[in-house]
This record gives sequence, structure tokens and C-alpha cells, in this order.
Amino acid sequence: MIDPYLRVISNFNRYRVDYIVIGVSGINYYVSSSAQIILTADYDIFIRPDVNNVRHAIKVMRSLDYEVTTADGSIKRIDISQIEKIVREKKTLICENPTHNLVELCLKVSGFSFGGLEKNKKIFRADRIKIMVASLKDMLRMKEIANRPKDRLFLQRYVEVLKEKERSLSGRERRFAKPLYG
Amino acid sequence: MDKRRLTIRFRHLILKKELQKTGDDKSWVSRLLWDLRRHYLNVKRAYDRPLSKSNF
Repeated sequence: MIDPYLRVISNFNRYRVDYIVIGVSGINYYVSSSAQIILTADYDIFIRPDVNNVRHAIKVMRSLDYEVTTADGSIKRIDISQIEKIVREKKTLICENPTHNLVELCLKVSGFSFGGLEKNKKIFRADRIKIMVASLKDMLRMKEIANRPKDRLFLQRYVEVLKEKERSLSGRERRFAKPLYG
Repeated sequence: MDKRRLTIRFRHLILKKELQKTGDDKSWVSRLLWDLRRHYLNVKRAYDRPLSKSNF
């Protein structure tokens, strides 16, 4: 059975929404075992901040039974002037389905433009579905720039994951291992 | 560690056994996040429910 996050990605690919998975959800694609997964309440996706792309993204989310809201309230119907305002103000779209799965569609991120992130994106595969994920280096840099208490806490925790990963490698593997990010 | 954290940790360990790394296929990542989220909400709901005689 396909999970709700992967279903969103699969539909974004199908309807050609330009997106990149970011945040802790994106960082989790770089771990090598489930023990290194970091729990997160939502799935963060950066979508190209242009009117058509945002309109398609909202359409997809609504077709998957997600309620789409911004800080100003719920988006009941797709109105171009409202979407133009969202794009202009680069508001975050919070999408929640009846089983309380949260997907955040961001129109801006700390320190990077969409094009900047897209250049270094990495493509992962899940059940033959392509997932565009920002590079680990860019995502960690984003956290450093944002520098909120939760970002500092995350970076502290992530250093432990990297150390743990290094400890689990044998001497030979350690010598030949590619850096986890870079 | 409180009971709620312990339950989530326990569930995580079960999942760790169930979900093995399958080559380059990363479908387990979002499936694990989804499962942990569902489990967290279930535990939270159970703890938030007011206690009444019928709960015992």
C-alpha cells in the first residue's frame, strides 16, 4: 500500500508540479537505516513559487482530500487572485487530510531560491516513483541559516547520527567512504 | 523516559526489524514516517482521553 506522502509525490510528478522535498523529511532520505530516522510531524515540500505551479499543487492536494490553509484561513476554491497574493507574499500552504497527515508546501526557504536548490537536487526512488530531494549539504545549511531553537537542537542531534554512522564503519570502509554530505 | 516516549520507542524497534534496507528503494522512509505519525496520534489520543469509570 502506498503511503500518503508518497501518493502526494507521485501526483506531483504526474501533474508536473515543480517541487523539492526539504527539511527533516528530506534529510531522512539520506539515512541508511531506520534507526537513524528522525521523527517529524509534517512533510515539507518546497514548490516553485509561480502562480501556475502553485495552482497545480493546490489542485493536487485538494484532489487527494487535503484541506489547504494559509495563515489567512482555508482555501475553499481555486481563485487566481488569491493564488497571486499567496505567491507574492510567499505564504506557506498547510495541507491536512482527514487522518491528520500534514504536508507543508513552502514558497520560500532560508538562504536559497528554488533554482538554487534545484541545481543540486538528488533524485531518490521509491516504488518506481522519483522523489526530488534537496542536497543534504543545502538542507543542513538551511537549518544553520534559519537558526531557530528547533534547528539548533536538530543539528546537535544530527551530529550524533553522523558520528554513529562513522563508528559503525570498519577501518577500511571508513578510509574509502564517501563523505555523507559534501 | 515517560510512558508515551517508551511506547513510541518500542514501536520504532519493531519497525526497525520489519523494515530492512532494500537496495536503493527508499519507499520505507516515508512509510516509516507515516507509521510513526499514526502511532503517535493514536497514543496521544489515548492519553488525552479524559479518565472515567468506564475506562477501568
